[in-house]
Amino acid sequence: MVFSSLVFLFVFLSITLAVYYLLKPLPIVFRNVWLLIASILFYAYGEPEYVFLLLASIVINYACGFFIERCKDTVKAKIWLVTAVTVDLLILFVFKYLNFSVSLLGDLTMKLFGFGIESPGLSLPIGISFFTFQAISYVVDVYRGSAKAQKNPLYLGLYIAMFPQLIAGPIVRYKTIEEQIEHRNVQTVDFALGIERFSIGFSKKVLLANTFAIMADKTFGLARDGDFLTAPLAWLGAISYSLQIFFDFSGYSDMAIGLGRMFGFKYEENFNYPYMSGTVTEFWRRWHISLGSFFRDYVYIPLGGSRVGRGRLILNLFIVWFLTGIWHGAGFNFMLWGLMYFVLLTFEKLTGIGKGLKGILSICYRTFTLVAVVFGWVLFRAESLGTAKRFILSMIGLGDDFYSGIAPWYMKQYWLFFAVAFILCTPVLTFLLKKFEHKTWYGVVKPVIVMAFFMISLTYLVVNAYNPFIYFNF
Amino acid sequence: MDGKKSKISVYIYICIFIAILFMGTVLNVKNIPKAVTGGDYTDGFFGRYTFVEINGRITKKLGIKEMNERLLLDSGDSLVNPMYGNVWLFDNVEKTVDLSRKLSDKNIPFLYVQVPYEIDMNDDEPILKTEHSDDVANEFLQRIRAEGVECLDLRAYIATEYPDYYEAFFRTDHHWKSETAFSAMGWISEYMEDRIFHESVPGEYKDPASYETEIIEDSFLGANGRRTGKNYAGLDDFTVLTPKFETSLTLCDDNGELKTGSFDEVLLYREYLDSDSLYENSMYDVYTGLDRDYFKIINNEPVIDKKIFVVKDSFSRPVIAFMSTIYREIVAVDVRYNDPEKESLYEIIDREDPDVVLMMYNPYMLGTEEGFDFE
Repeated sequence: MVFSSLVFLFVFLSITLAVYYLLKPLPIVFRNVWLLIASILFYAYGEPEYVFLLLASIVINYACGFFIERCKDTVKAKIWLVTAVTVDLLILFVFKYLNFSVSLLGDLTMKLFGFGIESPGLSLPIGISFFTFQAISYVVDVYRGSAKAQKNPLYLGLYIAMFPQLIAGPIVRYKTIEEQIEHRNVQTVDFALGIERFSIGFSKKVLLANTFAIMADKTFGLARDGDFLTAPLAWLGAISYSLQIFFDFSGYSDMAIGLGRMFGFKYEENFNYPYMSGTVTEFWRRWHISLGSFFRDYVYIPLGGSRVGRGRLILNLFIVWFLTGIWHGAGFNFMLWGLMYFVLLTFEKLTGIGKGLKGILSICYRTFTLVAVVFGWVLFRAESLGTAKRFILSMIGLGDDFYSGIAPWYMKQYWLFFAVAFILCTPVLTFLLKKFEHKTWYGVVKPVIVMAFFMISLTYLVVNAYNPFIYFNF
Repeated sequence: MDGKKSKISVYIYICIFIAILFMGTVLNVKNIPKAVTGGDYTDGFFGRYTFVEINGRITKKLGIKEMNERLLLDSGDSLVNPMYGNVWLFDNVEKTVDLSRKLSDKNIPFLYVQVPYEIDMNDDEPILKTEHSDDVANEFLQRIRAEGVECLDLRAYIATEYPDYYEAFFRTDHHWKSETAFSAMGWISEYMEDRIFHESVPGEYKDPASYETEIIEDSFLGANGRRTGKNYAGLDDFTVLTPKFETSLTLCDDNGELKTGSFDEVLLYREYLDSDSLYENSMYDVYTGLDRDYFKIINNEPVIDKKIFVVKDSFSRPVIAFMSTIYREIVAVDVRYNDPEKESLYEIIDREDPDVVLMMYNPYMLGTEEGFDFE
């Protein structure tokens, strides 16, 4: 089930909220159990066959967490940790990477021995990358002693399967909500803040991301089909996809944070104006923050981080960015995308470029960063390396004729969406709104405008307008 | 959010949000079973078309020419469904050639009739450079012609007869207008007179003046328009053509005879002309009703004693209705709805033993598998 759907709003969310607040007079355990049941139903709605996988992940990590704490500071604790992480990664490998690996192996055996190997054809359980990483963060935090093992398996289940972050993140650390699971109190203002955040995220997804998706999907479709793709159109498509993925992903994060808040959970921020970044390193501090910090804390730093020799540093960066690439999907384009960032970040790390740049040089490097990110999204979005190559060739003017009139045709229609999107990619609006916060009318006008956009977004869902779900690879 | 102002904000947020959730849930309780079973919850959503109309108005005000996968052209304000992507199936060429050859073995003539698509290939709207309906039809025709299949390309007739291409089609529907379908009947009949039957159809049967013209103004929201609402698409006039001359027809389906009477009594399903059911019904279905797997029209006073077998899509329905005033029998099979396990197209043809088989497809059908499920 996706948040930007009528079924989610008018069946799932309304019933879940109603029952949750009816249970408010009772001890919190009742509300937690209800949230867990609702989250399992939420997952089962789209992936009934994989509910048991989710439940198995909960049980295994609960048991391992329990034994890690019990055997604290002994070798056994490490064995339990290794067991948990191995099982988590094995689940991730089987369901996410086995098809891809077997098909590669099949190609190899076909070339060498003249026979192929049939792919197992497993479908990817939605959100598996998110809930597996949350489970890993739990057992590692328990091992490190930065969190206590959860005594109640249902509560661990709630942490791993909690519906707001289950299918599109953010990756919530156990220690962030450890306390909140058993001790939280939703004030009216929290609920209202949750509504505000959810509505803003919902509008970003439906009004902006879905609109940019029209242009992005059109242009990438042209590249895939070998159709007429000119340089302006390719740039329009690349920029559209850059905006689509930002407003879709940050919109989903806003919705998750807002929904969490409605139920009393306070999640960390996941985006911080990433397209304002002056360097590629800064971009990754502002984009999908929960994933970046996961790899930093659970991979990069355990490998030695940057306090190692130059060769080892490069290796560490390579491992982290290769893993970041394939975390987003099993495909060569994701590997290449991850490796592109490995090259850029290694370059920045080794040269220290970006730190001391001022004036025109700073603007130039900021522009370079943004252009590199846009090219990166082309690799990320293209369904094959061939499509990516064709798209990039078109962007640099080596594709079809230079002019077809299609890019201006789109711009004429969607200029307002681009203008709004560019403004929302910067903190300008937030800065301006702060100036009015003390005005009496602001308390009325802001919620009315936010809810008006929410209602307009609803009309798009009723129309059945284009509403792609872009997290099927995760 | 703090102080008195924040209290106002808090209550506005909570009141509006809860009101929306509550009303949306309560008013759509009847749709919950659909949601649970994975059905289309949106279909039947309370006040659905009010939402569609609001959305259509906003989209039009913003100057956006695409809505819900439909494209609003400058040319004639037509709302069309572009065929993006060069999709056609080589298998479909083989199956068509096969059909033609098997009929040839039985001495049954076969004619493939290329029905035009709703988009003018000469339209200079930039986005239509990536539209491929004509490319698909051209490729298909070229390949089957090369294999000796006889073809009649109605696109050429439309181009000649309709200087404004879009005049041949409804503005809000992908189908051709009744008048165009009538012309198409004339073109096909003339082709068969000259090339297949060598027998002339009296001019009056192909003359629009022999038909009553009933125009229902601003009453029809076509299939494209129903996706965007009338605020965005506008409305079409709909014309019902009824023969002035005497007719005696019998309509049959799988279960036998359905009704006998005049053209109006037998072939016109006037319940679809109810303009109050703008979003539910399509007036286009007035001729012979909805698409179905099989029907047969028997002319009890035929002008030409021939049995025509039509492998059809929805464009063919009004054509078949007009054609039925001339020929002894018209058998229509829509392969998309036919269960080949029960009786395949080949078996139906064997059973019916027609004098000619026409296959009338619009370009969209050429990229589908279900339209070529002959065996």
